[in-house]
Amino acid sequence: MFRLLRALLLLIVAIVAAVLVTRWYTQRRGGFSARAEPSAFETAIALRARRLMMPADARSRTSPIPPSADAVRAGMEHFADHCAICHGNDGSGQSELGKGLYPKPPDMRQQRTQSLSDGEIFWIIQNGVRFTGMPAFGGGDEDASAQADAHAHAPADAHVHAPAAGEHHGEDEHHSEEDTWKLVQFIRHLPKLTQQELSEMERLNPRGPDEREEQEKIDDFLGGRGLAPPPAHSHGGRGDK
Amino acid sequence: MISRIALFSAWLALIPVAAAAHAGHEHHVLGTIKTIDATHIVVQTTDEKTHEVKAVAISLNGTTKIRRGDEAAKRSDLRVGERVVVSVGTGKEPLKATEVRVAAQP
Repeated sequence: MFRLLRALLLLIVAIVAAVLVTRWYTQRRGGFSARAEPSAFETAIALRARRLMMPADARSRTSPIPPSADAVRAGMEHFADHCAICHGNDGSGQSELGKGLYPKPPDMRQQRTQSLSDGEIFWIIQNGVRFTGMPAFGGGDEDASAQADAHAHAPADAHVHAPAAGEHHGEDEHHSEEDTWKLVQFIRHLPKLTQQELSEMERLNPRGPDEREEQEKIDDFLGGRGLAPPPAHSHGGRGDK
Repeated sequence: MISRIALFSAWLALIPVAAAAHAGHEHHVLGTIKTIDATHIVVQTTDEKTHEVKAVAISLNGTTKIRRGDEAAKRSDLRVGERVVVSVGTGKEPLKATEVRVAAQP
């Protein structure tokens, strides 16, 4: 009983101290802004905490989807449609949305992401990361899991439906486990992404009507069509910016 | 267990809730290349509404991507008089090119 009380007291003191220190620190830096970069100390604690909170068996989980060019391509299409808005098509995190997040999305081509196990990357996509902009994409339904297992045991030439770019799952934006494992394969491919793949992803990025119109205008202009010169500045959007 | 709780509480206090950022629009400058050197590109462009022709200077740096169609290209591949689309991020002055795109070779 005494040990429990002591632990509780310690916890309260730690929280109060952390709040006071944070307040003092942030006041000195001009207040909380999502534009700021987390300090090395904060990053180290966050990464350590994320690792501690991840179930141990999740780290050692391996993909039921065999590595293949088709799986990488399906992952690429999915990434361009769902992930690039924050992470950028190239995984650098240098998107307009990503640059405004706190913490910023990591450069996934680098060691910090590439050194994670497949199971860790899978778990992060499925469950998200608390206190960051990374949502949980996993629906957690057993059907999806069964689908992934069925795929793993299907003959090599069996056709398994992969969602095409821009194909949404009705109002359900959750990824199936199969989708997520393909995303893991694509994330492993990011350091080797070609310019051609990047261009293809740009065409797959979700766009609003204005952005589609803008892209058509750009394509027409570069194609030598449209004699009227375009305006000096116009709006558009790309996932890899 | 205590160390885990302490670590988590420190993390909780130190890490602010992620703020939803406003997605900025990517601005483009469309026109023809007037001049180009190692650090700048000058694009001749015409305002669609006022029909005013003006030259817009945009700085280039090591991170500026150059593309000819879907292929990566070099700055030296760009020619004066070519149609060009320059991505300039938020469009805030001074303009900095994130990408310079010209049409694929016919």
